[in-house]
Amino acid sequence: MIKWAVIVWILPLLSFFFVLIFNKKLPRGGDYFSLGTIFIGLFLSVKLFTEALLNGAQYSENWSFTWIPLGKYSIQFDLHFDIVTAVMFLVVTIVSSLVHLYSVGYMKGDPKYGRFFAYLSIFSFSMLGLVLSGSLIGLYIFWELVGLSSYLLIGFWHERHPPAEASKKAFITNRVGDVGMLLGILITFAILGDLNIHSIGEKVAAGKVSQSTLTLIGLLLFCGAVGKSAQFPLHVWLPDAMEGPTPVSALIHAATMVAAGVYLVARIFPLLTPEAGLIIAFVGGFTAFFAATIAIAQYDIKKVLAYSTVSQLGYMIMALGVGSYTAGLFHLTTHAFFKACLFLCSGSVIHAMHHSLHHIHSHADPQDMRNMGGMKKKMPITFWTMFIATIAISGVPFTSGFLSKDAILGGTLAYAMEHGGISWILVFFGFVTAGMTAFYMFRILFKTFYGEFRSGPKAEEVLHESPKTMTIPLILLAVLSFYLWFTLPNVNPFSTHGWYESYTITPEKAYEKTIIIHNQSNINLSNTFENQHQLKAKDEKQHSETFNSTHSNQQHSVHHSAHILAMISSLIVAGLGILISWLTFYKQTISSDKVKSSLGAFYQGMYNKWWIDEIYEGTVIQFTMLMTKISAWFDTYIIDGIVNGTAAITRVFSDGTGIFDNRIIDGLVNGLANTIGWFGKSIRKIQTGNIQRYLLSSSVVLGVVLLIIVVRTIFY
Amino acid sequence: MGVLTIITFFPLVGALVLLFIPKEQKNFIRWLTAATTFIPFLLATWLIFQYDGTKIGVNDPNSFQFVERYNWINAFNIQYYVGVDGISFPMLWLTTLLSFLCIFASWNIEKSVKGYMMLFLLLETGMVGTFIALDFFLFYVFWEIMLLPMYFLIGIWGGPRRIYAAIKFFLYTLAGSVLMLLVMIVLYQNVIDPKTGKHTFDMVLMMNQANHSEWLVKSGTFWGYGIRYVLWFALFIGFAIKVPIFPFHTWLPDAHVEAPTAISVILAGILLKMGTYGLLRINYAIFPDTSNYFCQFLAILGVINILYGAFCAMAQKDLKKLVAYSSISHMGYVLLGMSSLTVAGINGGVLQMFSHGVITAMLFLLVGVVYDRAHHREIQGFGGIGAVVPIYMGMTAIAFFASLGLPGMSGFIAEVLVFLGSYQTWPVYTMIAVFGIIITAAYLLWTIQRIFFGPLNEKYKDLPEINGRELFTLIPLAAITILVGVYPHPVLNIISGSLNHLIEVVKNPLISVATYGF
Amino acid sequence: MVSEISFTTNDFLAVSGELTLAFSIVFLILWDIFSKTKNRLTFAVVTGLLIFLSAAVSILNSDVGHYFSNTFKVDGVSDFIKLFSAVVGILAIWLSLPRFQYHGEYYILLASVIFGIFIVASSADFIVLILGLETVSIPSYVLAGYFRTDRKSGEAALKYVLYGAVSVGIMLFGFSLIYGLTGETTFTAIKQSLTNLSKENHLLMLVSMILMMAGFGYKIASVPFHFWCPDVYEGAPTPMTAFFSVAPKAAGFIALSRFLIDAVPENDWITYNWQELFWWISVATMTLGNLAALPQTNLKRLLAYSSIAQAGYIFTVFTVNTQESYTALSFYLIAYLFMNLGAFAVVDWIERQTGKVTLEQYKGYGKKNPFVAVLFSIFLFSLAGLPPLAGFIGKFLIFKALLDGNQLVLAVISVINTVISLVYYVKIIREMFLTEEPHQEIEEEKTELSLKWFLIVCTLPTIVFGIAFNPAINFLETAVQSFFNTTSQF
Repeated sequence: MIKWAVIVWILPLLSFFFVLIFNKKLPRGGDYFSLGTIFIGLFLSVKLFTEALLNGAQYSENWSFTWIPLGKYSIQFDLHFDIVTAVMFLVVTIVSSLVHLYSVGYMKGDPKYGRFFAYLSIFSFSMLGLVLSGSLIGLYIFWELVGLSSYLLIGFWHERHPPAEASKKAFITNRVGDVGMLLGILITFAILGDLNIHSIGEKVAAGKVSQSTLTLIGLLLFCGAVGKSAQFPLHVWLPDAMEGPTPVSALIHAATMVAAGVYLVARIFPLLTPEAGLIIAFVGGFTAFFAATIAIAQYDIKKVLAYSTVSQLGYMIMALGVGSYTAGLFHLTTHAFFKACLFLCSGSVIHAMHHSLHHIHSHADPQDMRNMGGMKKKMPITFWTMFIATIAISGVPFTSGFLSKDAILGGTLAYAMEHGGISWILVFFGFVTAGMTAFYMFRILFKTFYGEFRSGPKAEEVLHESPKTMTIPLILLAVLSFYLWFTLPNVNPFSTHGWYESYTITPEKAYEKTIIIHNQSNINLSNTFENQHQLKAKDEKQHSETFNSTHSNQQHSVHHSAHILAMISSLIVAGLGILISWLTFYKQTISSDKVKSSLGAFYQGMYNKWWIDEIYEGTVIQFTMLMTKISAWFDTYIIDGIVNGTAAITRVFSDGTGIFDNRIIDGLVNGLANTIGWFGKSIRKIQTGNIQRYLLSSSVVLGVVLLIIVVRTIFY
Repeated sequence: MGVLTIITFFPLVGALVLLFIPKEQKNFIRWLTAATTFIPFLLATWLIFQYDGTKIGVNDPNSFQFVERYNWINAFNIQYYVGVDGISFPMLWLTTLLSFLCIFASWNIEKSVKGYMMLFLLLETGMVGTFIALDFFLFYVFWEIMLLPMYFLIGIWGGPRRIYAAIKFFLYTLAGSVLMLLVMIVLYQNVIDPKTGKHTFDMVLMMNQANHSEWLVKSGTFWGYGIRYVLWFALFIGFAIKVPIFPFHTWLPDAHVEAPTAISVILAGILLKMGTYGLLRINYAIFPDTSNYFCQFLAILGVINILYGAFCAMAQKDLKKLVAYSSISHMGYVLLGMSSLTVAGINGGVLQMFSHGVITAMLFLLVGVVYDRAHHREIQGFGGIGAVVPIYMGMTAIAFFASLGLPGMSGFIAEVLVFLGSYQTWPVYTMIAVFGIIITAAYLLWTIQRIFFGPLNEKYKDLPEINGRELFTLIPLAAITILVGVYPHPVLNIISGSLNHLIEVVKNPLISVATYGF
Repeated sequence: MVSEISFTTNDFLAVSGELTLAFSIVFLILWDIFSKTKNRLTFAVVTGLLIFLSAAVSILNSDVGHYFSNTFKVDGVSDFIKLFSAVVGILAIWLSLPRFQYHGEYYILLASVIFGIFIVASSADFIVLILGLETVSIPSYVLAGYFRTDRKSGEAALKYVLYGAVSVGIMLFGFSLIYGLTGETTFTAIKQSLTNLSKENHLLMLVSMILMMAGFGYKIASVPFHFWCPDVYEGAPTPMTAFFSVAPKAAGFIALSRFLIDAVPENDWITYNWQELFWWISVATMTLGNLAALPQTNLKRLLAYSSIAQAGYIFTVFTVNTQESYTALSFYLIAYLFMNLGAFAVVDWIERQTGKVTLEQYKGYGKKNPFVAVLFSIFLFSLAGLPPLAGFIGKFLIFKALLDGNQLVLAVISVINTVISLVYYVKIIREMFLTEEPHQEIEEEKTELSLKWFLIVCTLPTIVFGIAFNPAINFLETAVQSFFNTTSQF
């Protein structure tokens, strides 16, 4: 089966090379190669997915081969395929293929049309490789490669400055996170000499790593996720990345690549210690809250969505941090669809706006919501699909977002109940963010599709719905935003309990296994361990039912009560958010200007993204530039100065020697010769005095030498 | 006459043949030179398939390959002794490859083509000879032979400040190598061939500390310092200048900026590697104990090189100078890897030597391409030319991304191995060094942005696209980078045996540092 | 202790070379006076052949040993120096041909200098040594001032004379002190009696030896007796400069070597002081030579300082005073002979073409006359000591000898000096190849056939001795061995 996965993975690579090299020579830039490969991939992924489900929750396959032979040992290249991989494959191929399809319409007429598809292909390859990797080094490789494809795609319209700038920013910011990840890998390798995630887990379980080191490793690896999943404080690149074409934003910067960080945390989940988990949860929670505050105050439709993405990713990270593994992954999956849908809808809107504004020769920003409004009539499909996605992200029942968000909030609440103390802050983050999310998402909806069109009637006339290649993906994605797809065979819209929850089993914490091995006392957990072994043989249905029983009873009850509480609270919060939004932007009973002014500096902070970019500009970037200047100055003036100075000193010495040898002696002599006029012309010519001087010098030196010798001999 | 000898001296013979060709026949001279460099390349490639990766070489005289050994100067027991092992073979192959490609990069040279080509061929002989020599005297002779053609090639065919650059290069390198000369003589006088009882220049025998004299092992001092430290250091300075290691690096940017394209390629691609090659072959193998003692020092220098080079590169306005400083930075990885004395580190270091040789060659070739067209190299002076020359931009992007260590390219494997290895020995230094990859990414991407992105500079709207000849020089290098990046077995299988053995040699020296004082 | 004077046939056989040369000179004088032909090419060739013949006779006819009551010594090194000076003489004659085709006495004077060197090479007695040195000097003075009409040439000659007179005077004074101490004139006898010298007289002996250094230093042009050198080299006709830079220096070195080995007793205290003195002299000589050469733009002055520096390198061997070091010295002389003569030949050629010897004349010369320029570069690189040229091997051997004798610091200083010297050698090369007027068509220069062959003759050994120096080393090692081992006939 993994062989098929490899085929799915490799196909886009072939398409990348082929399209990249031949796109100028092929009709339609060879987009059908990219489309073809990704749709084949989608088909195979579905097949893989179903097969994986049929194989049961414990299904996994590995394939490894020697990649870097070092003589004494070698570094393996590991591929790992399990249910989570299968789900990710499905998510990636679905979103990717729909975005491919959408791009056919969206990118039509672009001079670099073919190249765009090549880049999409390399992205698909990298992303699939990332989820397929079974070792940290493999993850890191594809981690960087998705970074590359992201760089290429953000900077796709590099003829303009902002995309070029944004692409660079994205790559470098990601590299900062990657450094942390790399360090984590280095420490792991130094301690365990192994990079396969599975065997790392086993070695950790065998107690080869101290808990504090494990925390460090976990947090360093998490740095990678901070970069890639745009968590605070490395979130700054993601909003800028919206300079890329909108399909790219949908695919990479909303649905898949940015989720790679979440995926990474999920993969290393067994390695995370409670301390690491807490910090991760806080980073995630804070990011969720922080980004939401910014999203509220933005006018660029894609910027709002971008900050919303940051916020949602924060949610997922928080979920994993608090140990709600399934919830985190679940939200990753559901978010992928509705966020892709939202972006593509915004793309559709922007596309339309662009044409309209172009028509009236306006240079207004087609992405600014202040130029939109009332587009519902002209673009019904876009509106309705966007509406569905919006309620999904806001957490309205019957949508997938409701379930997954609820799972996260429930998990967080349970965590807070269990741990108490500062972990309640996480709950605060979670619920407030949920409300704000509903608020700003509906703000988009109202500002874009309701009210008056604000760019003039001339432009409104030419507004039109996007072509089929664009709307079909929208519809499909909207459909996928309903709950049912994720809870089958369960049809209860208020329960996450379905195939997803049953098959994505929370892996055990490796360090806990250590306790088992060392103490042999925790019967409860060891039972779990055994149970799971037995479960392998069992039928999947039975398994799904019995799964929960493997959790400790206490945890289970906490989860259950938290779940219900969270669900109710989140519904209230989301409802409040929507209501306020409705009052503000539709009914306009609440004046947004008044609110703005009353918020004062707080609003300015939200509007200016809390000046994070400016802070970086003033600190990190200034510092780096200062370092470069100092280095360059040091190099030119100090080091090279010393080198040239040595040469200069030698020159001075040599001149001095020359002067001593020629000029002083000759000069003295010439002067002398001139004064002794009566010596006659001929004598002056041959400079008798000259030779006298020479001889004198020699004799003086000789005399000095003799003196030294004599003195030395006498005094020794 | 063995194949190594043919590879070494074929270019020299070619140079002599060129002597008799009228200088007006420029194209014939070019093609003849290309053919002359192609034969060694073919032979070297053929040797890859003859190479036995299980033979380790290093300090075992019986497992060097393609060995040729003749007495040369009986009076001093100097031999013509050549052979390859895992440390030298990849560099040998790379030398022949780059030499061949560089002829095509030199196609535009119009000023006394004959002289240029003759000097170039002489240079190739020197380079190949340095890598295969196993007799110290022979090594030294080849080492110095490289200097002269290099001096002329920079000095005659270089840019505006070529004379300054050439003499700086010359003096710097000579200053380093004369120290090596002294060490060589001291070693000769203190190493005895156990079979004949004579003094010897045989490097392989020098690597066996049992052959060292009492003076060299214990009693020798120089101004109060243990003689092994002094000798090690003298050699180190000689090689450090070549690498170049901070603070001996300032000849490099000048030399690179002024040298013609092909010469920059050779300089960065091959000559820099001679420094690290020398450290491995001579410092490490002959003074394993001292190297062990000093490896922390090497690691620190490696870190300085990485970061300092990167920062300096970022500050540059001249594209070629930027690439030159990036070489300094990248050679830091080699040092860091070498200093770690771990399997991954040292393999990574040597792989980095190979990989950087390929990548930096591409970079310089690319700089040459744009310089030929725009006649300047000011990064700020371009802007948006990506729209006009997409293929050129593509090739540049490949080279730049390879240089910043993108996975799938050889640089990545090398860097990751270096880090994996060095962390085991020097966690703190490695943690600092890792930040180099951010700065590297920053200055390379910034450069791409300034040159290719943004609105097109109208001055260059008719900039000609890269031509077939130029692509011919670049594509093989790009292919190697990617091939090695995806499947590094061919290189690693060759080098790992020797290097792993070298680690053992350095880690378990026959004599230990404690026996003499510092 | 004056032994009874009794000469045997062997004694005369030992000096057969010198006798041949003496008779040749007489014959040449007579021929020059009585011959009426104005083309003296034949004359020059015959002179050369006769010099060579004398050297051959000298080498073939002599057995190693002491002759004429220990005043005359034949060994490998004396043979070597005779052969060496003959080669220098012949090459000097060749070099002089274009300038002095019609001057018979010129060649006779040259032969006389060589005759002097023959005597110096074998002298084992102080009187003989002075005799030899003066025989070298007096014709040299004449040769230096050979351009009677040229002011500089005359000036050079006079300086040479005066400086020579004073140096030899000091030397004689030094010797008189030794004579006072020992009452002997032959080296071996001096050594014998100095070995038994009472301790109070050690200082006096050292002082007298240092005074004697004046004479040697003058011939070698080592600090502080080098002042005459640049002026004389500049003023003398270039072929003569070339000759002076090699032949009398070789004589000085060999005389000093013989004095050191045969006459200086093995006494720790003296050896210590002596070696320290040499240490300083060599360091001063090479450093001053190199530094002073750096700013020179007059090629003859530049090469003069360069030759001072080269003498400094050679001088270092006296600090170790081993067989190996004398092998190095001899080899260095060989290398130096060819590379230095080659370099001067080019300078002479350009002087004849342009009338000037300044650096400016060399601008763009690489284009003008690539053949000469390339060979000139080879000589210069060899002088700088780059492999694979003879100059490098010379330096290599010297450094090796130094390190063998534990003179590590001196070796390092020499090495640093080598690097400095590169600057001014390369300066010339830079002028020839690197600096060029753009867009200026340079007419190619036609090389004289004689020069072409002369340069080739100098280049071949410069390269061959850099690559295959085994035979030379073997030869010199045996020579030096006999130099050391020949015991006096007491």
